[in-house]
Amino acid sequence: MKPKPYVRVLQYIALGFFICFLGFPLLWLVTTAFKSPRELTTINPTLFPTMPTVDNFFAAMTHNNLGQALLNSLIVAVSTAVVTTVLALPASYALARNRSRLRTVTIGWILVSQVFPFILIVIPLFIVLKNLGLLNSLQGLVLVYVVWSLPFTLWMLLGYVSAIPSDLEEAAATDGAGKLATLIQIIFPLLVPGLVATTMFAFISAWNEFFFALVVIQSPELQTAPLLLARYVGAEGNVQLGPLAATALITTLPGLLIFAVIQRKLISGMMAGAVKG
Amino acid sequence: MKRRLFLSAAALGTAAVSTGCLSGTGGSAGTGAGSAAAPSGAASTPTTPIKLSFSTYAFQEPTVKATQEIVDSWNKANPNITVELQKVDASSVHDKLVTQFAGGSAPDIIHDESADLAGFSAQGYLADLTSLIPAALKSDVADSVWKSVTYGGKITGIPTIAQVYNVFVNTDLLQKAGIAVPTADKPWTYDDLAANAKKLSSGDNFGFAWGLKSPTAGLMNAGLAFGGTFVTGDEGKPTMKVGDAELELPKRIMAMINDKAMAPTSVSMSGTEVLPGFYAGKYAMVMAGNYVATQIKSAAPATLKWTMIPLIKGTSQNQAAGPQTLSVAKQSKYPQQAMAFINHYMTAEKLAAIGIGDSLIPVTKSAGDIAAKQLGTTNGWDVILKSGANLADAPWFKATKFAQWKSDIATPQYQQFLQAKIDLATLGKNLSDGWVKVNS
Repeated sequence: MKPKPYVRVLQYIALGFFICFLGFPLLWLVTTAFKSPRELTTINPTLFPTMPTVDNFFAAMTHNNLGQALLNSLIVAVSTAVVTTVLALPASYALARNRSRLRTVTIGWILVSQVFPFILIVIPLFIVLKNLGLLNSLQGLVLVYVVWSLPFTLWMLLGYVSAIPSDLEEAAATDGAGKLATLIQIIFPLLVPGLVATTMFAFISAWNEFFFALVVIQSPELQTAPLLLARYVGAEGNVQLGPLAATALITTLPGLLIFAVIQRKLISGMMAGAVKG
Repeated sequence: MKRRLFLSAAALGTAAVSTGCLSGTGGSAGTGAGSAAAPSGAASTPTTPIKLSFSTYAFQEPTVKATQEIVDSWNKANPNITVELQKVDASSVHDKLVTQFAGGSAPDIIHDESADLAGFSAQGYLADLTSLIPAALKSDVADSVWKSVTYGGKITGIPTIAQVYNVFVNTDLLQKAGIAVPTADKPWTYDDLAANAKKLSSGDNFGFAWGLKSPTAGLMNAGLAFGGTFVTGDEGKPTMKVGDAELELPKRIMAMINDKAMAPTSVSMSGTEVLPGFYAGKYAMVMAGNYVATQIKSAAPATLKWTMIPLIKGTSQNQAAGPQTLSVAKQSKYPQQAMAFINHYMTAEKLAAIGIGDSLIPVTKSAGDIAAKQLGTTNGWDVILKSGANLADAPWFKATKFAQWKSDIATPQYQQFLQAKIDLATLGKNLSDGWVKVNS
């Protein structure tokens, strides 16, 4: 049924408020990045800088090696996303199609792992990584992130796989297709939206993660972007607001750009995926 | 059936491997007492190159630069003993050290604050540096400051720079109100502060503001001016007494708020969030850690004329000595070389540069003299540098449960008091009851 005109207007007004609510912090971040220290400490703050400056960006890039930190974050996030997806995809298919006791146990493990406070495992994790020679390395960090995001990624993909009717596989089998051919030519293409969604989830989780990086990474040249951001906050609420905003803006850009490019696939993936028993 | 057997075996195998990994790590956790020889004697030059790690939370740009210069000059003079700088953010120092100590990967040289050393010292993670301190350095630092870094009779941190809570005043506003800026030989008392703050208040403008969002450090450290020591007894099992001396400063702050001499909103701001109001003339005077001077220099309008005044007097001008420190991890394989680097850091010119960079007070007299020469009387730096003599040992920093009591009990209780949700008697009772609870 088509909504009445006034209802449509109200909907657009509500949508406008919602966009302002979501977008305003980002706008504030952008304008803060271009403000000088003097302007940031005026008693009556302004939304837009009266004397814009790019000094904060220079400070971010030159004083704290932001370029290296972003590269480290990119390596870690991409590796985590790829490895997690490669591991989760066949596992989710096996769990979705085989209704056995293992499925129940695995789903239980996934749920328990999500409620477990990770701070309790950080010391044993540190010791394990040290003994494996993976402390203070990007490989060690990727391993931690893969293990940490695998349960939820598996859970998400399980829903997407379950949404694909098994009749399609039976029809393919009837036509003479083997298991591998069925998986590659029929199942996986249908899973692309779901794969995009779960890969992005794993990427963003690894890109934004702070605490594990703080524990695992010791050397300045291996620091990731979140560790760098934390260094702008000193003791007793002392914050270098301008460089922090500039660094945060630069750090946010990759995620924003990727989302802008793949948003259609992401939305259809999120709409299609639903946990089905 | 075969597939089920395979999957079960795989699951059991994974569990066995995980258990093997974890059980193999038992030896390296714990006190960390075993790996390094006790430090003794002078540093020796190694025959093969060694690397020392130095973690620091240096934050302000001039301090970061000064720290890097210290490391570079050391590495140039000691090519066989390379120091690698590891930058940490201030709020993560403790958490990072906990995991590093437990995992046996602590940095050789640790930059921390004295308030954080009690727990690590009690657990045996920090080397006893008492016998390694050169006599010249020992005599260059006040006994009260050495006392603040002594735990169980051992010095586990070399003090570097210290902070006081002092009042920054807008000299133009004081002059307009006919109020003379106090001098070192005639400092203000808290009664003077309250009276002058009242004189400077009108309408929406207040004579005084203090960012007390995290109130405990400020109220306890500055409260030592009334003799409030809070903690007494054995270091291992200290008791807390919250009496009139301990409650005097919160009582006076609340009185200033009720008298409309102090901005009530400032108690919910951080130490630096009150600065915009100071710059705009909304607050004629603000109390803050003296490190704030660096920010005022860079961010205040050019038209603002300001200075720091001598420490406000209670029964004395004492404040708690809670200096930043340099420690050596007991796990370090090269404690003597680590201490040699600390001695390099503590040379007068270098420590003065660190202090000036952070706008904090160098604890050595020689570095203080250099800083005084460089800063002169600009913005009241001469009186502030002299206030190093007012740094007194704060017994609460020695209590291993202090950090927990501070975050779980003291901070919420002080915040409730400043918001007038509880009265002074209730504040005192809750602070001491909370101490008993935390230590039980």
